[in-house]
Amino acid sequence: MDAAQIIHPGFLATVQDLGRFGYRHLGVPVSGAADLWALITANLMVGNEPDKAGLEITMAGPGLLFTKDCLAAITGADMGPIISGSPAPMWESFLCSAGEILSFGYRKKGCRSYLAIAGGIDVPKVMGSRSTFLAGGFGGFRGRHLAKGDCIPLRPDLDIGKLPLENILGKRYPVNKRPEYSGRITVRIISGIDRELFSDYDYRKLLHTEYMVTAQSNRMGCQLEGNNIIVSRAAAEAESFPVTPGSIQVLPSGKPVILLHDAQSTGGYPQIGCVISADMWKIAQAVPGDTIRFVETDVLTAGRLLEDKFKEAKVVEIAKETRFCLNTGENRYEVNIEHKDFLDIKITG
Amino acid sequence: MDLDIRFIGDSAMVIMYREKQEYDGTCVMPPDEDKIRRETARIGQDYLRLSTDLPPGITDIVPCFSSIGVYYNPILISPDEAADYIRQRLAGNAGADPAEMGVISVPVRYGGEFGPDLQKAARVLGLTPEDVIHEHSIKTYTVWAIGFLPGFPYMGCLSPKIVLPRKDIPAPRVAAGSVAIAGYQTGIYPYDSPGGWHIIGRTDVKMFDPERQEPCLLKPGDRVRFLRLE
Repeated sequence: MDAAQIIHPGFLATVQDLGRFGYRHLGVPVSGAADLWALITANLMVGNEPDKAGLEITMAGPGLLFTKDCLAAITGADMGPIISGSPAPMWESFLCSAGEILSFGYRKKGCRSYLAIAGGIDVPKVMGSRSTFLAGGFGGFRGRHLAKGDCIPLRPDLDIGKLPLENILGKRYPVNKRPEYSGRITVRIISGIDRELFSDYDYRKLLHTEYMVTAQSNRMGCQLEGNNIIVSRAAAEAESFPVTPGSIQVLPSGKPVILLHDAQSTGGYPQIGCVISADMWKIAQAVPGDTIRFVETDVLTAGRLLEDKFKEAKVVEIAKETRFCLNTGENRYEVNIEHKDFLDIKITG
Repeated sequence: MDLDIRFIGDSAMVIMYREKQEYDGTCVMPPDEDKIRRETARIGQDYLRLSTDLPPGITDIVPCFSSIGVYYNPILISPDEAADYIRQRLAGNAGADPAEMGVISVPVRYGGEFGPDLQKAARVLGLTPEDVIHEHSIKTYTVWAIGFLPGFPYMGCLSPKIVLPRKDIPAPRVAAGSVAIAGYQTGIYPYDSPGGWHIIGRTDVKMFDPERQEPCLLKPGDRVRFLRLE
C-alpha cells in the first residue's frame, strides 16, 4: 500500500535502513543511513523498531503527497519542512493526513534529513537490507534515488487508526539532546593500520590541520582539502586492504578522504586513521565548506562513546502539547492535545 | 603462530599476513606467483574457518591479497572478544597446499570498441595488440579478492610481458563487463563506473546480479580463463 507520492524529487532522496551486513566479501558495501542516530531517533519517534527503513534526504528535500493517514517524524538536518502550509515539527512525531503535502526546502544546517513513517518504508529487502546502493543500482526504491511520481510503499497491514494511542501522540526527542550542526566539527579517530607508513611528522599533520570538506563529497566518501600535504611510504601500486566507513585514506595528492557508507569494502590507499563510529554522524552532516579537525582516541574509549551514543539516540519524551490536522471527507479538523494529568483534546473544525 | 591483528576503527580488524609493501621504485607487485598462490590458498582457508557459522556480533569476513578483514558490531561484542574469535578459529593452522579449484571460463571480445585501451597498451609495451591478447588469454588466473565494486574480481598473475602501471588519470566511465589489466592483475568491471585500469576487452557475462541465488559470479580462490571471441 502506498503512503505517499513524490511530487518533486529534491536533490537526493534514498531509502535507507541501518545497512547491509554479511556481503562485504562480494564487494557489496554496507550502505545504510549516513547518520545512523538520526534515523534511529526518527524511527523511535513514530513507534518503529530502530532498524526500519526511512528516507535519507540530502541537501534539499522532496515534496510528498500523502495518500493515506501516516504518522511521521523528521530528524537530522533542518530543511524547513512544511506540512499543508505550516512548519512541520522536527524531532517529534506528527500526523500526516491523506491529501496533505509535506515539502522540504534547502538545508539550513546539516546535510541530511531523515523521514521515518510508522510501519517503515516497505521496499523489498535485497541481500538482507532495504538500503539503497546507488552505484550498484540495487536496494531501496528500485536501486535508485526517488523521482517525481514514485510512490513510497508502506506495510499494507499497518492501520494508523489501530495503533495504541501512546504510539501515535507527542513522542519527541529532548531539545537539549538534539545535535547542533555547527559547520566546524571535531571528530575522534583511531590510528590506522598503516600508521607506520607515515612518519610522526606526517601523522601529526593530520591532527594539526584544519580540513575543509570539498564539493566532491558524496555517500561514498568525504574528500578533504587542507594546507598540509601528507606523505606516506606506501607503494604507488599497493594492493587493496579491507576498509570500513570512517577509514581515512591518504590519496597520492597527500589529501585525506574519509570513507562513508557506500564506499567499497577494500581500498588500496594507505589508511592513516579511522573515525570512530560514535562520531560518524558529524561527517554525514558536514557540507562542502565545513571544517573538520581530528583528535586521536583509542578503541576502548570509542566503544564506550558508542554505547553512550546509542543510549542517547533512544531517549523519548512526551511533548506537553501535540497539534495535528485531520481531514475526513470535506472537513478539516485541527486537533490540539495537551498532556496534563489527563488528555485534554480540543478539536476545531 | 602469532597473528598480526590491527584495528580498523572500532568495528573492524584486519589480520595481516605480511607487511604492507613500501615504495620500492618499481610500482608493481612482485611476480613470485607461487608464493602468491600459497598465500592466497592460506588466506582462502583461514577465510573459510572464520566465515563458517558466524557468531552473533561478527558481521562480515573479507579476504584480501595478504590480509583478511573481520567486521564486528561493537555494541554486541568487545574488540577483545572479536580478537579472541579470530585466534580461536585460526589456532593450529600452519598453512597448506593450494586446493585445486575448477576453472571458470569468461568469454571476451578483445579490442576495438570493446577494448579501447588495447592499441595504446600494446604500443607502450612494445607489442602488437595480437601479442597482448595472446598473453592475456593463454593463462589461467586465480581470483585473489573481490572488491572495488560488487563482484569486481582481482585476479593474477599476468604475464610480466603485459604489466603496466595504472592510468595516471582514471577514465570517467568504463563500460560494464570491461576486462582490464593493471600491474600484475586483471579484473572485470561489473558496472559502468570510473576506472584506472587499461581496458582491453569486454564480456557479456554478468559479474554481479543481486537477484541471483549466488549474486556474485566469482569468489576468492576461483580459477578463471578468458575465452577469446572473434
